[in-house]
Amino acid sequence: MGPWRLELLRTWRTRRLIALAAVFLILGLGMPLLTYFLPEIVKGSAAKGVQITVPKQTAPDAITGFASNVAQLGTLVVVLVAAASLAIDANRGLAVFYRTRVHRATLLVLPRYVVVTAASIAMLALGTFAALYETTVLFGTVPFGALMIGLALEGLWFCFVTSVVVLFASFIRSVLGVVGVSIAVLLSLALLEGLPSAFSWLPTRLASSGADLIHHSAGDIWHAVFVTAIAPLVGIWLALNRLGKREL
Amino acid sequence: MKGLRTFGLVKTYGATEALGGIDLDVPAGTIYGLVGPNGSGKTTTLEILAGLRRPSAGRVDLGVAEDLVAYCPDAAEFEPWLSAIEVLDAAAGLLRRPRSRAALGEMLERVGLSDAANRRVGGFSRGMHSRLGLAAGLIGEPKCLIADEPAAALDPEGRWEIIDILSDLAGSVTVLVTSHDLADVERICDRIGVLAKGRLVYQGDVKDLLARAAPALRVVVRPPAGRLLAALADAPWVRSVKEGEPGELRIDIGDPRSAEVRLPEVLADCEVRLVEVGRAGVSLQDVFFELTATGPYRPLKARGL
Repeated sequence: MGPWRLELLRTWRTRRLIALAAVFLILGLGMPLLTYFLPEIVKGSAAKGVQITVPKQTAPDAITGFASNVAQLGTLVVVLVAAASLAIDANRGLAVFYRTRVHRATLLVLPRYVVVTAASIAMLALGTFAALYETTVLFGTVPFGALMIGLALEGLWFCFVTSVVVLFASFIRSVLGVVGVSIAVLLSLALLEGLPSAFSWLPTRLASSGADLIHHSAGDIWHAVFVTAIAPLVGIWLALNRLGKREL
Repeated sequence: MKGLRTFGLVKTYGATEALGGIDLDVPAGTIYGLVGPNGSGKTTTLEILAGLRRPSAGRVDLGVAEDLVAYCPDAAEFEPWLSAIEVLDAAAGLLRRPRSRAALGEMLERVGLSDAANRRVGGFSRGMHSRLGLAAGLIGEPKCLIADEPAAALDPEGRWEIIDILSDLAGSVTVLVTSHDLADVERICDRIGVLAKGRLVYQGDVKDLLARAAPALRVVVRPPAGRLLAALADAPWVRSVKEGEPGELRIDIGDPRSAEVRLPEVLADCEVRLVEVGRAGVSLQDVFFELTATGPYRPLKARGL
């Protein structure tokens, strides 16, 4: 059993794949449904005598709801799952097993990174297709091309997210520590990106790009795409260097 | 195949010196026992040899390629979601030496785990983990095996099985093993290194060490032996004396020549009823206590061994 099959087994038997599938499917099937019934929900929760007018919900609104939740809840789940796989030295006994057999950090890290990232993107795609189906059933046609470009950009965002986890797993041993620092850094990037245009090139720009593309309001995202494509390579390179030198 | 050697191995943690210049010499194909009290630096030494820690100074010559060295930690751990046979499959696969299912099954049988081959490791006892750890080490057919307390978690029968497996490796694999059970070390090891406070206080053949040990006499008298015990304790040629069973004395001799002349005199003066006088067997444990000054009835003066 080589390292790639071992990682596939890890993703399946630890139920991390199921956790990812569950979250993205719930978002994909749930958000369009929630959007569809939003007017009734709002009206039902309003106090007597208060009249609330909710605009008519559309297919882009449903996809926006899904994409926004992917950017927040989806990212959080990906960070949790990735940290559980990529914090190689979190359990000393297991680290001894791996480190005394795999002497190159590349062989130790890359299978884990690739498999957990691929699983996250695959489950994101599953959720996106679930959202597409549900939205089409409830609202009608969805701009398919924009949705697929959004999926590709959000997939790139997940490549970045897991590389952030790899990087901090090379400095911090505990899973919780890796999760905490990774989320803190991603939140900081999101806050910076929210500032006026100076930080529009940050990878967080891609986190909910599906929603922007559906509304034709993505703007110039190419700088962010370029940075998000390069950053994982730099992060993994740094992590490999660091892990290769770290004592157990 | 070359043996395993270290040259002036030093390991410090801040101001604490864990290893103070260790020169191990483990000839190829021998079984070498590294013993020492807790905290003497055994595990640190083994982890440096296994590549898990870097020495602060000195160097290591494993004698074989890095991927031909297997390390079995004292508390082996495996992914709980793998079965025993999958653990061996993964251990071989990660070393890029895949084995057939039959070979994996044979290895499990060798360590007494064939009945648990398809069980998830998460439910294994500590003893089963130890057996699987040894199997995972041997599955890659190493030329050098480093085992930290390989039989520590096992019952007496299990200990014998694991010790037998290790002793079968003699000649084909260089084995460096630590153990708190000195009887095991005495039984299977050709050479021994004694570590104390991060320093190698003895290294050589086990039989040479035993031959250089302090001479001791076993004297059996009809109880009570209190008067004889007191007289012997005061005798200048006696280094220490203790009573095991009532009337059974073990006398560590500082000056053998004086002992041969004076012992009958002391026995006569104390008017004891003598049952037996003979040479006491010297165990590795006695020598170990002496070298590391950790025994129950020591300390002894340094003997320059």
